[in-house]
Amino acid sequence: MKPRQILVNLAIITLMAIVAFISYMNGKTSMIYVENLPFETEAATYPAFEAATVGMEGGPPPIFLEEGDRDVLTVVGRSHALLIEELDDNDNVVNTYRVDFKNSELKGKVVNIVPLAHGKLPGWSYPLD
Amino acid sequence: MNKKVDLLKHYLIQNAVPILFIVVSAFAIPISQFSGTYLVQEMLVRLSRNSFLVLSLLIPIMAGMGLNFGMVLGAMAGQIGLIFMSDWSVVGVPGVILAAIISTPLAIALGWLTGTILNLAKGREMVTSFILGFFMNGVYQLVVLYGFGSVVPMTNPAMVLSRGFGIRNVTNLEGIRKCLDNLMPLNIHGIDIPLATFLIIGLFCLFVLWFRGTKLGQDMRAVGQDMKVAGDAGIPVERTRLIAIIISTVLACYGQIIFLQNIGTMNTYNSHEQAGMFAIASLLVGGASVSRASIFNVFLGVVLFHLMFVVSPMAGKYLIGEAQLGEYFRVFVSYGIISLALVLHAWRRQKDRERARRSLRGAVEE
Amino acid sequence: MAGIKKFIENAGWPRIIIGLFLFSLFIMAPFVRVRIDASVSDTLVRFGMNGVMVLAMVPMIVSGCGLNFGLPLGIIAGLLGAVTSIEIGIPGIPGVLIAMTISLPIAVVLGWGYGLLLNRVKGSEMMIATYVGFSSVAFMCIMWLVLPYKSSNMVWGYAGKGLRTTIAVEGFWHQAISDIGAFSIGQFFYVPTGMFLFFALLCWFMWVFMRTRTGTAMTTVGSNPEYARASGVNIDKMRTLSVILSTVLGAIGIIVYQQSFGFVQLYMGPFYMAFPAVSAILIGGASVHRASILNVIIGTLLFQGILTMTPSVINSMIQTDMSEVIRIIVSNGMILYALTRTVKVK
Repeated sequence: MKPRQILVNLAIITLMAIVAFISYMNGKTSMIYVENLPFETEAATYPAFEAATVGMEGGPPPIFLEEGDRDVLTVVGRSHALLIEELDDNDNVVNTYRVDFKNSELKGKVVNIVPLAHGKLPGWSYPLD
Repeated sequence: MNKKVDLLKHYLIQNAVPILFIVVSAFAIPISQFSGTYLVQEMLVRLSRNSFLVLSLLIPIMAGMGLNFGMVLGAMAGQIGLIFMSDWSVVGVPGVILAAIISTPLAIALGWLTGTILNLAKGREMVTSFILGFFMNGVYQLVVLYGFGSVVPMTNPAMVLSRGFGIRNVTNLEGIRKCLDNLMPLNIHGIDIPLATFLIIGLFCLFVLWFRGTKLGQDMRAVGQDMKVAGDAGIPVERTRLIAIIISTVLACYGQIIFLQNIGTMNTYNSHEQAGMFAIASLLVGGASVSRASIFNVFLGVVLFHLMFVVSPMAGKYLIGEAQLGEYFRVFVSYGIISLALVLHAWRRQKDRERARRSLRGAVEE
Repeated sequence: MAGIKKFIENAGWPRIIIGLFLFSLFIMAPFVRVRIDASVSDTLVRFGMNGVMVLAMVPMIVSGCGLNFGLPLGIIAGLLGAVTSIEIGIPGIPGVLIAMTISLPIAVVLGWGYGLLLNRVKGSEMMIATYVGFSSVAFMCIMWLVLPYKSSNMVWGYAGKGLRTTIAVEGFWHQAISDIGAFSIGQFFYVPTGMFLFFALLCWFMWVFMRTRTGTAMTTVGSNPEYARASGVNIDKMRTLSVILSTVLGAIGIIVYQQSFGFVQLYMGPFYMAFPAVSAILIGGASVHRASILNVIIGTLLFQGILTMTPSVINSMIQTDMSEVIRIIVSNGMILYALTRTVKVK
């Protein structure tokens, strides 16, 4: 084989490997536990939502969480846009939050939507006990 | 005038199989009581699902190697890619791309194996590739049923049999189901058209057309015409044949991935077997022969074959009151059509040979 | 050393590997508590069951028609005979004889047509034979549903028509041939003498036939067609004759198989039955152009030996059933080897 040919082949292989890696990163699904619990910081205390629906933008139908609930959500890729809809007693939408986060920001598999909705307060994500 | 009749006769004989199918379908469609919209939708789905697999058969035919029954090896490679993909739970279009990339080297290796073996069995490529398919099916089972989960690590316990190794009979591909088909949704009068899949198929058709014109494509046709003459002209015959089979195997692998992303589930141990038979039957129904096949044959074949596939059980049910009968009829037609095409081709070849021999003898006598 | 080399050359690596594999299975058997006598007896029974169908390969190979992948055609004739015999309902040896008598003319007619077809497609017989086999099985699937058989032993209970997928021959002629002079030693060792005698008889017929004028002419057609043509042998006629013979043996073979097995398998049952027979004769040392009775006997013993021994030994060794996979790989690997091999020799 001519050196040029080898070079071209190597380039193709590298390209394929890169594409494969990108596909893997963007298509990999992982599971996170989403919960709706009261949250305390030194400054303030945030009560849990009465009820909320949590879903991914463009993803499967959202899940429904009552106060104190925890459920599983499947997320795809590296960066996610979480849509949280706060509901009142009659299941009417009170508030809508749209939060972006990345896999690298996660401290663990559990995500509490209360601090997340109030501006990503530190401690919104922590490992499963 | 006489010449015209002769020409018509020749044309009819050349296209006997598709004409027969059109006639049978013309009778069976009204009996089956399917609506036109339903049939059009169904045909579009099946075109997008199967065309790529059938197209992968074209290049070996060009190289004179007959119907590549070894395409099931490509399908196996594709399925192994899909197994890894769903094991790592990668979904959507990235999942499809990843599966394709994982299975490419495997398909190339298997294609190389097929090509090497077929070079040892010149003149009986078809039966050899056919048996090779069976043989590799055993190896595939050995690897997937015993190797995966024990030698090859699997991360997703839901895919592995309860005994701790071996992939389950059904692999769930819900994560990539129709992701390619729905990438560019198009809806005309209530009929969904999977535009993205058709784009890929169209691109591949262009590739085939382009490929015919390249040096390699010309070489392949020369080899297909006459191996000895091509060899004397300095074309590396065995290498050209090898490349033809490798291309076919890799394309069959992609074809199987496209096929399974549309279906959404995979019978881990059966999906590839059917792939080969249906693809070959479709191509032949489209009027292709063992030595001559065009892109048009592919699309016509897929439509006609699957039309019969959809219609015949219902037609059987309404006509005789037994759906099972239509089912068996369908199986019979798929095998019968392959037999018929093989017989016609072999017969014609033998006649040509006899004629050549006679003319040779005649020349000597003169 | 040269002798060993020559032996390896003659036998071919796959056969040696398969032989050694079987040998090691038998050695390992006692250590994993598999009864040798039961295994040997099983092997013998299966040998008798399948022998005739393997023998059916011989005529077509020697006449140059290649491996008879179209065996299902003969099997169908046999099935028709068997089913009709059960419909008539005569038990015992007469029942088997009736089955054979009915299947004979059917096999001759089918074989004749099949032979004519193969004469028109010289050079690609094997591929076409495979698909002729497949399509005839698929066609018969329709026929089994439609044919007017009435016996309550055979048709679906609720519909009252259409044959069942498996039909028990128990109560008709289960082991009718096998049990002629059969004996048992101990609890596990059973020898189906009658089946062996029958198989030996057919082998002897074949052996004699190969030495008649027609038989030698047939061999010449296969080994040297130009010479055969020059010496005035009608090649097409010989080939057709060999195909008829193959088909008839296939029909008889399946009846022998069923009377021992105890069931008639219809519908997709005969679909892949040609492949074990083809690989058995190849394992026995035959090639695509050359086969003898000895190849049949050795091949059937080896192949059926592996089929009986692998499930029992391997299962008790690693607690997994790998026999199916091993069967697929061994049988198709053997066919593949033969297909690639002969071209090289040419």
